[in-house]
Amino acid sequence: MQSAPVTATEEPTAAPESGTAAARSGWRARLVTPQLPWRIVFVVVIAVGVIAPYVLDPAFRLPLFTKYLCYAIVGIGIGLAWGHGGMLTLGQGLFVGLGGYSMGMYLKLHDAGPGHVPDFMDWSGVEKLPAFWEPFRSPVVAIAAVIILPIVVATLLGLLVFRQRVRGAYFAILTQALAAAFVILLIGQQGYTGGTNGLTNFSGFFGIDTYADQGHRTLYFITAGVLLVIFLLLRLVVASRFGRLLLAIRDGEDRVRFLGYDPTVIKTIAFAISAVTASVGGALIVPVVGIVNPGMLDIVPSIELVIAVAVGGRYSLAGAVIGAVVVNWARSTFSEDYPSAWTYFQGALFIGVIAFLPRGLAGLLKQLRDGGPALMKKLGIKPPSRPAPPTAPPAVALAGDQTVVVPGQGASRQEAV
Amino acid sequence: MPTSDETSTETTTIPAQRTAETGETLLEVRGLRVVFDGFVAIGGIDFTVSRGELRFLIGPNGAGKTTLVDVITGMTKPAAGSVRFAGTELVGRREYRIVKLGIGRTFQTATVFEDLTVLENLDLAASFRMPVPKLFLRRRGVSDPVAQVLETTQLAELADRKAGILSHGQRQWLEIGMLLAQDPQLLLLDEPVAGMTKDERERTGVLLQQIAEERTVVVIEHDMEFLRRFASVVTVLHEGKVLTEGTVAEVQADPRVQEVYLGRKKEDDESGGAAAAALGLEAAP
Repeated sequence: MQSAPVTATEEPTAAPESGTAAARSGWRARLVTPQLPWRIVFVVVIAVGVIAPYVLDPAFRLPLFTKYLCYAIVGIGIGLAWGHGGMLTLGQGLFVGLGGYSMGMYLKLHDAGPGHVPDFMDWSGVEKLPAFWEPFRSPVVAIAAVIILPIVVATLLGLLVFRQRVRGAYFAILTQALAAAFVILLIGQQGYTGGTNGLTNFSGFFGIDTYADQGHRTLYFITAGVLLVIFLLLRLVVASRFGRLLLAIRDGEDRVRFLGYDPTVIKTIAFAISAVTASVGGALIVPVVGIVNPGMLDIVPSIELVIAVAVGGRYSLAGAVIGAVVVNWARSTFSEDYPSAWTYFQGALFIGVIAFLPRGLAGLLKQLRDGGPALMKKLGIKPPSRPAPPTAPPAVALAGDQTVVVPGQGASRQEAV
Repeated sequence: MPTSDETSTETTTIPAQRTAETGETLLEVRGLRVVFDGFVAIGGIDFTVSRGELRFLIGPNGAGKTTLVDVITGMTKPAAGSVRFAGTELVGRREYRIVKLGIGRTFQTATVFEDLTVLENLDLAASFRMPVPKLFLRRRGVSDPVAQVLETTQLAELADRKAGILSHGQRQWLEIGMLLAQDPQLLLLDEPVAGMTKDERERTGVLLQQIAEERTVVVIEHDMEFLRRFASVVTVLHEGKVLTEGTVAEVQADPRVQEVYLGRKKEDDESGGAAAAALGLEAAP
């Protein structure tokens, strides 16, 4: 992800040597880095993101797109836990549900008004509001619950499970079972949770009219903003020592113990982060689709999220986002024309990606990036190099293919061009 | 299975400072027994290492050398016995807590993190005492201890390369380097020169001697030439017991050691035979 911090040192020496030519080449060298494909993609994505709400049909396509972004938020968390931490969580629906229901409960109570119970309770003959619903009258409590509940649940679960060194398929099945249990609980408690129908018929979302075009745009921008913030935050996490440690645990948990770290703590934190992102995605999806029900949290949607992340590329956070959007968009498009074919197509997609693109769509971009130096050569720019080795020729002939740029040299060479 | 209360021992001691006099006992193994499904891997070992020592552990395959290191580092739970490090009982402690007390180890097959760069591998090894929240900060530059290790292990040129591309010998050095970055008082090295070229062995041996100047080192090694060149005190294990202990010459002259290795040879045990040959026992009467 991050490259050697060299570009900065080259720049000041290049500037004074000559006028425009060196300045331009410095500018070009800074732009055309191995990161370039990623940067282009990032700029394009942001541009598309800003334009989208004014191009897409605000009554139908835009809310769909917003929904994909909610899945992308969940997907980033899966990317962190699975791609970086090696924890295959097949039950993110549990955390999507914690966030979704926290938000849904607040919205229902808001609509019911003080002293009243939500409509579905009336129908089930529940006249007094259950105690666990009461705090959700407050929007602050509801939003706090969206953050805190998944952290608490994931932390307890993680400490129990990771300490016992449960991992791999066993961990995956365990998370799946928890999602299933949660769904059964929700369905079974019709009077308290709305059962299979879940919570629906919301009149709005914090003053936003969720039935109007403008409301759809506002929801879109909120969701896109949250996605961007979470993406950038998790990028920092991944680039930090914690992120490196997570990779180390993924590749050799037992070895990490002998480095003096407790993998239980690190994995639990990563799992909790992924749980929070799932919960936030779940909370945001409620006003967008106007409903939260057990069907959205069940095993199948949980696995579909994982598939989407695999398609996009689980080892990169951007891949998770791309996967969630592309796969869900493909699903909508295909299902409109061939309602029954999608399931087969999805299965084929998953197998195809695992077999031929283990790094997903993002892996393709990475290849582009790794092809970057060749591209730069064509453009006549020296690739940013690592600092010159302190000693003369390396004892081990390994770094042979790297060109070493002595500061200043690059600039004078550019002048000749 | 002995259970020691982790929370109560946790608060006991921070191990004695490194400045303490050499010669004082650092590691003390008493009456150690390890049983795997009825197979006695270690049948009562007493083993002491003094501070500042460079100790070699040898013995035929299955003698219990690696098992001994596994027990010291918390990877294997013994059936009986005690392991004390600078006065602190280690049995029953979790691996990472033992590391935090100041014991580091390497493995027979060097395990480095291939997706991380050489620098990142070393940096993680150096940062384990960091409180967890601080781990979320991005690494800025190279810390002094890590830079020093890069220099010592001659890996500086490869700092930004992924560890996955390293050669076998370089991996072993990176692993030793990670151990140095951990800055432990006691290093346990499991066959650090296995599979190395002659030149690499020589350099590793010199590196080990440098390391042993400031720390206590226990090395498991099969390679007898290496042993003769670098070992001072050798402990011979055989079938889960300490057979003998002494200088290389003493050990070589010991008839029991000869029997162990030569006996193995008759049964066509390859490594035992090879080891016996390397010990120079062929010429023995």
